[in-house]
Amino acid sequence: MIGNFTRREALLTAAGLIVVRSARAAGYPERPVKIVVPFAPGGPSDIMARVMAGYLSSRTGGSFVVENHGGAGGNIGAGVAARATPDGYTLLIHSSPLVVNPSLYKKVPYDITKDFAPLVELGTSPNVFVANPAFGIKSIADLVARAKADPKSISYASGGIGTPAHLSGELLKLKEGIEMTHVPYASGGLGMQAVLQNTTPVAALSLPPALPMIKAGQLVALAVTGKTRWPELPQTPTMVEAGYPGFVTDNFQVFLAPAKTPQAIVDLLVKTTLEILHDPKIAQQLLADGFEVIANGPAGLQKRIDDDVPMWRDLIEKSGLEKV
Amino acid sequence: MEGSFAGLAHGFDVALAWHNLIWCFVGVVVGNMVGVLPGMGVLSTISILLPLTFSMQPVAALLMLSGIYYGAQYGGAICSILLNLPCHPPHAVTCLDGYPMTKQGRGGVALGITMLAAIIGAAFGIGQMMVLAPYIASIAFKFGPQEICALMLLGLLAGSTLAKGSPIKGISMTLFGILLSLAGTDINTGNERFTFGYAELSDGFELVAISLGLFGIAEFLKSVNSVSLAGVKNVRLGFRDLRPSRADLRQGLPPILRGTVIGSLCSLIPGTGPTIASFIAYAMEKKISRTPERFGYGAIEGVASPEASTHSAVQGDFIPTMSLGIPGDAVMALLLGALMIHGIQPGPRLIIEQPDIFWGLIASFWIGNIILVVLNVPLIGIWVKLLMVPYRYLYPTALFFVCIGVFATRNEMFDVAATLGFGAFGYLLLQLGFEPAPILLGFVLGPRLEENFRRALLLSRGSMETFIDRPISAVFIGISVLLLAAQVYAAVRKMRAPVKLPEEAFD
Repeated sequence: MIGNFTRREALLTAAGLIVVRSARAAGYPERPVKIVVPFAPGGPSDIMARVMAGYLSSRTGGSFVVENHGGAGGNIGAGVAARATPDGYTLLIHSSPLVVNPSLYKKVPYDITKDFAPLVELGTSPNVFVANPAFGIKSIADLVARAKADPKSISYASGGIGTPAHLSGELLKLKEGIEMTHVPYASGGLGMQAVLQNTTPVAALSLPPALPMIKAGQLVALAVTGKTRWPELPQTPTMVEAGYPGFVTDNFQVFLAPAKTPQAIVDLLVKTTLEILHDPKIAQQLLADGFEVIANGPAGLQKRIDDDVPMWRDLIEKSGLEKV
Repeated sequence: MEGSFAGLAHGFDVALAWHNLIWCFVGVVVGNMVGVLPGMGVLSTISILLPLTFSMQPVAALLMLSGIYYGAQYGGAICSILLNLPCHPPHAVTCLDGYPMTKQGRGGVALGITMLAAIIGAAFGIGQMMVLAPYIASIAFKFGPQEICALMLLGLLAGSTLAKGSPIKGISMTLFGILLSLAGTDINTGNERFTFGYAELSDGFELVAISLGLFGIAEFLKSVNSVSLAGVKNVRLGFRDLRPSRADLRQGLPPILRGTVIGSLCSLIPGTGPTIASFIAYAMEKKISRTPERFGYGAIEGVASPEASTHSAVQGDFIPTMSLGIPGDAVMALLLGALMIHGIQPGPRLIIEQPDIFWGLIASFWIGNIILVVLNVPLIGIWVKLLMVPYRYLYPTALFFVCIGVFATRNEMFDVAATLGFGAFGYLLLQLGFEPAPILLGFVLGPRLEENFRRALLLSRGSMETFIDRPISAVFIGISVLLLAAQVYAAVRKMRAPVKLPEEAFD
């Protein structure tokens, strides 16, 4: 059969495929589009995904629905999206574990270099170093001085092994050569509680959930790990300003499609998403939810991924974390 | 206190505004249905309905979404009691005595006492939220890893004799439950344990899968093989039979009050939600009972106490979520997310900055719970009639919903397979005379014991003294030691006593 295939027939078939493909993009989305979130409902990626799904639905006239596939630190959901049919009807909104996990786990069910077509880097939230007010420190310098004066005396909490917040704490230890005992918790909220009740005097946390406590004066923010200061905390310096050049660790939220998703659909999604993010009202809403809008298109996101994977790999190796 | 009542008055203004009232009603009714249907979980319902709330006012959205959560608790006990299907983990322990009551034709009574437990537990939980929310920090913050660890130890010791029959079998089942809970990622090191390469196991087994398997499916396997279909035959449906008698009330009220207190205490300790509360309540109730041998054979206390505890913990759970911004469980995390989508940051300033939200929510709890009782009490008769549906239709249908429900928890087929696996295993256990309940106890309390034990040692740099240095933890450890000593003393005395006929062999 294949032997009898003439060149003309092949061309026609190819042309037909192209017609079908572009027709698909033109009518996209014809049925509900699934946005996979690789975490349980209620977390930052879930919030971002639900906000985006709402606006994508209203702007495309289609129906974008969030589907949570939690587990294995985001690996399960990412694997689900990586293996999905690349027809534009399964997409993924993921955060930093996407680029951390390949270095943290012995095996992840996706290939970060091959399995995804980047769409947009949506937004980012920094991490923050906080202290219990009773501990009596105001800055990272104070913390380092305390840790040097009495080595091994300080414990710090985080929302779990291998989270960007935890790795930020490890990075500080590496940069200063200090010792602090890491006390992991099952979630950032519980880690925050540990420092609120002074179980540990300090913590490295993702900023958004900690923000109300900082503003209420129940936690002292020592420094944030973003590129710039956080709009609502103008007094708190960045780690770069605190004297650590290059100390930028954040939790990004990224929008991806499975690799080989039709280009027309990718283009449409990118264009619509960027329009949404450029709406000042929506940007304001996202800021209130704890995200600084980035709105970085496919090329920018690809570069970000290419830069971040080795960055986390180095950090994980140097801090001596065992692969899990 | 006065501030609380002024706030509450304002809250009723908010909650009684007609469109808030309607959403509150919608929420509790949807919740109630979700609770009754084996196939729907609270978490998936709320996440499905969340996008609908984007166009709503934040207050109405929150009233509706939280209505789903506490509304579901009203329905949650129904399948546990009538069909031995614990579709909602906090109500798993209700099966232990609720289902035997149904088999004795007292299912309606069990449901009636559940309603009473619900309203008393909820009222206490809400009252606590009104009064204590501003001071929550000082209470919750007394519970560090040492205290939680000691509390879990006490819970496990008290509960190891949870099941009827042989204590050794009960303890071994508790240990097996702890063993099962080890599967998954170790929080302290990030290592995966006992996952055997299954990524689906990286967060451990789903509690719903285990409880539905061990209770619901095991019971199903047992019943299809037996000649008589107990539970379906001797149901009396007269109005009188559906109402708890005076004696029932007298017997049920003290456990309700005790359960309420346990539930509200548990809810104040973040991360210790309704499920743990209901187990501890049941274990305590059996421990202090003068007739512990009745438990597991339809003791009304075994239904009253855990149900009251669940409801008071469910309402109390809102306190740390709202006033600290620290969610107690997955549902609370989702509600927190919903608030954030509406641009509201829960935290210590919520009560002052968003009085509409905080007091409106509390007022709606009162309204919602009253609606639920009014709705449910007349429905009890209808639920019990459910048992008249022939077994060959009823059970396969229920199983079908069970599979959907288990799947929907995480969108994983793996969990459905696990449920069926646990069902087969549970059947085996029943045949060998092992009670599955302590497995759940171990599974629920074990991880919190281990996690906090290791965390406490991490903080104390390895010194065990940390557990007796702190007063609250020292008290719990002290009670645990007393409990153990009493157990040993009783065992020794029993050994010296003349040998009795082995009645239990015919159990």
